[in-house]
Amino acid sequence: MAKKKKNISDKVRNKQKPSAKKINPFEVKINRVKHDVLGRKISKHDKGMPGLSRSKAIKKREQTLSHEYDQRLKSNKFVDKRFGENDTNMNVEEKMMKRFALERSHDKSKKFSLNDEDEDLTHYGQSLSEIEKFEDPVVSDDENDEDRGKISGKMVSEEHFGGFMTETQDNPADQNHKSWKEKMEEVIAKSKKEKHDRQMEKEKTLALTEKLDSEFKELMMLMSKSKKSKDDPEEKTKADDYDMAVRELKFESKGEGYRLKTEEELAREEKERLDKLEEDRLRRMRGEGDNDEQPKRVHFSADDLSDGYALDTSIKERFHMSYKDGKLLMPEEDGESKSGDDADDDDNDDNSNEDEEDDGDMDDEEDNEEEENKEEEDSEEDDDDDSDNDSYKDIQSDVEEEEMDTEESKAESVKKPTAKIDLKKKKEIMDAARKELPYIFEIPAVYDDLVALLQDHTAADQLTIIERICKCHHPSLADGNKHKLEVFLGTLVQYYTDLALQDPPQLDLIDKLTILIYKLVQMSPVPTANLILDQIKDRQEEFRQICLRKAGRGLYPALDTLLLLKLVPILFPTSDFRHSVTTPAIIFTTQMLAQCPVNHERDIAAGLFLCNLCLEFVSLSKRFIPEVVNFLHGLLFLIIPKEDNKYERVMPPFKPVGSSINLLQLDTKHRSFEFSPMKMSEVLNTEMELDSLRHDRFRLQATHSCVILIGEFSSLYKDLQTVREVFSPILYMFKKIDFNQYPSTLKEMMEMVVEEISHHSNKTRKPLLMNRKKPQAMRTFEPLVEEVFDERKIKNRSSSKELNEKQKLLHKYKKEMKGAMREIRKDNQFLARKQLKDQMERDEERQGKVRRIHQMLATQEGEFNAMKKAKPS
Amino acid sequence: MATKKAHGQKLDILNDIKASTNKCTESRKESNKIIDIISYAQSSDKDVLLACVRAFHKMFVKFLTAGEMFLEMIPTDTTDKGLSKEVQYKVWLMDCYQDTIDCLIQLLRSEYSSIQELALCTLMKFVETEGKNPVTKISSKKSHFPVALFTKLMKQLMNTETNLQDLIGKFQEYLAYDDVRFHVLKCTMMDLKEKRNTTPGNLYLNNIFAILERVSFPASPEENLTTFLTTQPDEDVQLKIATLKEHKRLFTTSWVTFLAFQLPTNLYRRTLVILHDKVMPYMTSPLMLCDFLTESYNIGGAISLLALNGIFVLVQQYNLDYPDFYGKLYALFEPSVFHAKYRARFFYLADLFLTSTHLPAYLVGAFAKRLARISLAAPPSGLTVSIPFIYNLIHRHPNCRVLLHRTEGPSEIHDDPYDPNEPDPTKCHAMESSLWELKTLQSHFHPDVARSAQRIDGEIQTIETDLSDLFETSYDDLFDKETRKKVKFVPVNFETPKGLLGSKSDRIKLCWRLE
Repeated sequence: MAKKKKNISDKVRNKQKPSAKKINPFEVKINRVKHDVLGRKISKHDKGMPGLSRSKAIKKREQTLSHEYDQRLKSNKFVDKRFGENDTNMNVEEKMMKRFALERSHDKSKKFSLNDEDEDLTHYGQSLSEIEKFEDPVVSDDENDEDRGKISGKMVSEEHFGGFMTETQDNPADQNHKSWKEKMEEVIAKSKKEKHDRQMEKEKTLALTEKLDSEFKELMMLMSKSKKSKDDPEEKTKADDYDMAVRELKFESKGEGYRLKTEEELAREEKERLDKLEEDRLRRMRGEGDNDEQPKRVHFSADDLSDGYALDTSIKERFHMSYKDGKLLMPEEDGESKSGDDADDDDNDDNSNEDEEDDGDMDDEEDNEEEENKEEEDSEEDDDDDSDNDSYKDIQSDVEEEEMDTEESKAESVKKPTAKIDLKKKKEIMDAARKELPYIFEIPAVYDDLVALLQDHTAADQLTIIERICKCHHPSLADGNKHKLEVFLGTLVQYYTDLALQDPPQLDLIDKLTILIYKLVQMSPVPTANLILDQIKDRQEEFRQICLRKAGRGLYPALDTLLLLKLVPILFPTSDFRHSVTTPAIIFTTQMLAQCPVNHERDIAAGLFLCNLCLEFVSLSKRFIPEVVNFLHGLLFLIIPKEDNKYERVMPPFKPVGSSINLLQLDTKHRSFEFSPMKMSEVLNTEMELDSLRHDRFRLQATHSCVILIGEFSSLYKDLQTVREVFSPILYMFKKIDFNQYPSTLKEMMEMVVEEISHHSNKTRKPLLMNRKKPQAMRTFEPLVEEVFDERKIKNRSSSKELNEKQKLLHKYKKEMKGAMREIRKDNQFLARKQLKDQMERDEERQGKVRRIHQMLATQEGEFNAMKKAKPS
Repeated sequence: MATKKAHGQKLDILNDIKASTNKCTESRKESNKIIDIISYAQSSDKDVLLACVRAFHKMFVKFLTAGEMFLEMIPTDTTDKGLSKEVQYKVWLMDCYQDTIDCLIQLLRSEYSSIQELALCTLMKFVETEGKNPVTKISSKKSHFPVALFTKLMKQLMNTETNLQDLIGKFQEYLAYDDVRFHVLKCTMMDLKEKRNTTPGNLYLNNIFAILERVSFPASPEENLTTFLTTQPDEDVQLKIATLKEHKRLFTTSWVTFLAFQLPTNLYRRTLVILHDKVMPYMTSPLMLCDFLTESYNIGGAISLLALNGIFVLVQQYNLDYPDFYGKLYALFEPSVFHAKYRARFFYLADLFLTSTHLPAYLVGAFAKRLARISLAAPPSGLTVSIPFIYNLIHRHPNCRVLLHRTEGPSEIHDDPYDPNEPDPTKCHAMESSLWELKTLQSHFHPDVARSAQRIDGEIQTIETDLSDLFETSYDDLFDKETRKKVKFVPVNFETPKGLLGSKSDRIKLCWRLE
């Protein structure tokens, strides 16, 4: 501590001291600075000592890399696990203190204690601690239970091991006429007697205790009885508020232990649930019972007490322990989940149903879906129950279906011929299973696959299938799922539009699909937006082609395009000033309104739908759409009675003359009419007969819708400056309509709308005034402050902040990368040097040895020669 | 089998035609084969006909260049026995030639376009060859152009029963030759004059129009013409055919006569479209079209729009004093103008007419206000033009700034002082009004339009906007522009729908139900 609290003055003094080591000027390399900038911090890069730093680096590598290299083939290594050894924050004293404390805290005596409270030993799956409670626990009161059956201490000290010498010296007379044998017998007798005495005493106390117990029990019974009878009514009333609160708090605190599951976990659970259900279903389809086959145990651990105590059919197959590369080898199917949290997983499996319900509570979004799931689950559970009840007990007796192995079935039927009824039930289950949908689906890659998949199913089942596809391929489950789902959305949208083209359009399914599409779009907005945009583009292109062929006149689209456009305001916000999907959609909508001539009733219906869509598009933003006003004006024109030789002014696509100008004129006068929203399938169907809508009912409904829309738009646009000019043509048309022709409800509505428009038009306005130019502020000379300055000029300051940030990061990354590369290169060089050195050393050694051997051989040879020479002589 | 047989037969015929052609061209003795080929040409098979036309082409071009048919003077009596064999042969060959020409002219109306084209080419080749090697002696002072042959051809092209516009399209390449052009114009003029008092069918008018439309004049203003398909007449002799003025005279007369007919609407429009550009510059006096244009201008609607252009040229270049020009222009500013096919042309011209800074401010103000008013019902494609248009007007005439920035007068007005029903721009009180319409358009659904209209709040531009790129904008362009951008960020709704009609902001429920 004292070290840390050094004075600043000390530091300064130390700094001022010239370093004792003098630097060799030849070792210093100075980087020349191109421009001296005043005020810039002196960077550390302008001066370098290459020799010094190189030697430093080499030294460091000697310690680390070289060491590692030397150790590379060593299989065992020394790991210093001393407490705090690798902790640089601790100094030696602290380390020692800690170690000492740790040592003290270890209670060595407890190490081998069987009665350790922490561990619960079991035998046959039952807790040993419970087994130890014998039938009637005779717990003796005296504490030194350990020396039962042993000679008492006093005895030992007196009689054994020469101890008696001390006492017996008092009466040496006795010592003489007592032989060793006698003495021993005496000792034995004494101890026996003592033992007997003790036993007697113990029995006595036991009897007493028992008596006391029984007496006390009787007493207790009396007491409790009286108490209960007395307090009962009171107690119940009392238990209400306070107790409830307490209990609540209690439970709450318990609940804290559970963590809310993340989305991914939920998705995984859902997937697992489906997997499991699929497995079950497949098995049931094959005609196997739930626990038809006893799960085989591949591996029994030493601790496994094969007592069948926890016989659980759902236990997963065990696996052999094996290691590779220092890692535990896992079975392939779900290794990843097991490695992490085995127990957790099992829990999940067990609790998945509960979780399901929890989900439902947690997010309202999935309510509908959840409900359906529940229903399914219920049905499945029913199935399960059935199988439980019927096929469980007599699984072995099951006679298989025709397609199953006949031999086996024969043998089995011979064994137990009384399985007929079960067979029937079994068949039912199997049929149910076959009808039941699979739980796992491959994601259909192309549209035709999807159609093929959904073809034979009912609407509800189709929805379930799609839902399950989405769940099976939740992005958190696998890597490519997100992309797959995006592609799938494309096909789904196509399916959605194709449903609208069917006769009759499957609006219910479309209705439900909307929700699913919505969810997919939420998952990955940009690609899905592109997909939907592509669909709109295709439609627009189609429309464009029609216009080209028909000299700029289009055809009203079929229901699919209308519903596709309807999808847009559901998925994307309409109030944005400019939106990548909404804006093109509305342009397309208005284009159709402006370019499609109204030739028959269906055109009117489609036009009304488009107007209504426009209303939805702008209901929040209150933006102005001239095309809608024109179209509604044109519809009114179709309503009014025409005068001869006088052409009303209408806007394209309506024409002042032609066969279709009286489309909405009523045949007869109507007193009353029940107005209700129009049916989409009825009036927007392209397949219908042209004349099928040529009746007053449709005309009245269309007129009604038209008036509603005019009312809506007039209130939407009431704040426009030129509301009068915009709505004056409409007002003009209204004045020509004979209100009395219409049922009273519609008549009132018309009058109301007219009044409303007149009211809105009756406003004063202010002459336009441009905003005054703001006086230009004097230029200030404040410095430009950059929030995070990192010595780097930003080249393209005009670009966005994010881009700048990204560039900065890129630069940093590059720098780091370069540095890392350099280091690695140097490492490699170092290693190569080291290897070379090693090699050379080894060569040297070998050469030395060879030389020595040569030398030796030469001397031997010499000696031999000498001997040879000597011999003849 | 039958088809195979027929096919074999056809092959035989084709081979026969080929062989005969070769023989004919080789020696005179085999010339009788020509008759066979002419008879084959009566067939209706496409391949046979094609082969015949090719044969004709080959034979007669050879005969013409070789002078096989050349006679100093055509004998008055061809049946005269006293004629030499040579002359007799030539006369016979001449007859064959005439038959061939008739045959080819008939083939011009064939149902196969390839035969039509080939026949036309062959005939024109005959015209060319005959012009270079006349069959009779022609003095060098006269044009060598085979008028008789060509007249026949033109008669066929201008016939009243078949639509030959496509063929005439092919004919265009020959119109680059001055002599061809001259004779075309001459024939056309003669023909038109013949039919002046009748009411010819639309097909005839279409054919004539197709021919006249394609007549083009050389770019150089040189008086003497030198590009000839046939032999050029001598320099020193001034022939009508070689003077541009004569061409133009014929051209003018043809057009004027043509326009005197009652034209069908479609043709009327097409005529008006090309009039200012392809006709007026080559007329001796474009003012001759004045009546026609004035009449057209008074019709109203799209025709007026188109006539505008011609009138403008007359006013601008030929000093036509058109009374109440701007009044009529003002009347053309109708809401339907945004939907017209010729919208781009109209705005281009209107912009041109209103470019002048010498126009009185009240007039310009009236135009600006009117345009703003009709913009209220305009499609966004029109608005992308009209709003900058208005800004340009105000920019050119600073007096009109009161329309956007009124500091004097009452602070609250109940009614718009502007009278939209007043036809006279000088009396419509536009200058007492303000452009509230632009204020309305600020909340237009299209982001570009809204943004453009928002400029009235601040300082409007200091330079004129170039409108030339904007005239042609259509819905499709706007749609493309919106969808072309790469989508980087897409906000999505955060409220989960409960179904198709189940979102909170849903309005479809008002009028529809899911059944």
